[in-house]
Amino acid sequence: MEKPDEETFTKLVVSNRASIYRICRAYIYDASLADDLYQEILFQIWKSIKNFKGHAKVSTWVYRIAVNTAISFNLKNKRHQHEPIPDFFPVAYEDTMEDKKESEVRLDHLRYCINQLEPADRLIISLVLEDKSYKDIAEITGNNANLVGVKINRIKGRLLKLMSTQKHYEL
Amino acid sequence: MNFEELKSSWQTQPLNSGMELNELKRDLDSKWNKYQNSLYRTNLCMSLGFVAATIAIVTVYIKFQAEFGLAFKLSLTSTCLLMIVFAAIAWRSYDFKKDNLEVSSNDFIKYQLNKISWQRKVLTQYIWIYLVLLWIAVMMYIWEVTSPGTAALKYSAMGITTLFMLIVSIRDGRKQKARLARLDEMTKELEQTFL
Repeated sequence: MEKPDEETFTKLVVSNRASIYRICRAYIYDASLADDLYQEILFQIWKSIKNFKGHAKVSTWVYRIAVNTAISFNLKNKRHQHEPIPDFFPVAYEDTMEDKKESEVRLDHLRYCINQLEPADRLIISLVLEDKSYKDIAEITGNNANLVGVKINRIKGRLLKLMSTQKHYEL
Repeated sequence: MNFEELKSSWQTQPLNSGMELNELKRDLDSKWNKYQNSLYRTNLCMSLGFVAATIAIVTVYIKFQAEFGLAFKLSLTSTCLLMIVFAAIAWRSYDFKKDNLEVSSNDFIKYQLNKISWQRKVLTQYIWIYLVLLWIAVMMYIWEVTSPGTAALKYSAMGITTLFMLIVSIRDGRKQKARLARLDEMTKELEQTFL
């Protein structure tokens, strides 16, 4: 098997690594597990890079690999699957909240609320948070844009509701 | 807080992957080599096992075909054919290990479901058909090879071989239950993951 093209990989990683990392953090609440998924996605991109034919946009190609790897990762590593945390359960950042910057607390809170969503919804919302258009998300997921729009509105509503009902965690 | 504020807050989060690009490339390179080595090893072991078994059967066939009748020839030929079919099934299962991650997510999920359905069929149907056909081929072989001997020898050999195959099948059947339960669980999870 041919060795992957290092230069193309570097370009792809430099321009997409932050987005990939954020998708991992949206999909998996635990930072160290999200790191494992991030490494796995980069490895899959490394493996697949010589197959990139340019039929799809580079970013669509990268996001497809990221999302599919996340699905596969969840399937292979049952222990990595997160059941939604019950409302009464103390959240990891609760004790140290005062020491954290406000923005970090807000981010933690957002991650926590995203984690309450279903796995499929977490993936879709992570793409929305990356500013992907309905058309792009439809291309990545293989749905039609109208259906994607309906789903996104539902997930957004649920996320905002979660954010407001969990207000007591904010500073 | 509205959704646009959430989005801008989300995009400002730092990248804490804990690895520099060069370190990452080194790590990926080593992972790549390990992956390739394991791929080669699996390919090699499967191919060598298949070739060795075929050579052994063909040698026995050539050496003893004049001494025995139709049942002998039929049993060895069918064993060989079964091995080819089994190897084809194994290679198809092996081929499924190569995940095509570049397709849309829903196509990827459909492919995974198809793969699980194939694995389920192998476990619940093909393996049992294979075992029954193999048992028939082995019985024909024993019948023919032991025909110059006493009836006691013939039936003992057939009985012991049948018992051995039964024990192996029952043991594997128990393991299969857990594998089938895992496959069903995976199917359910995947069906819920359609985006």
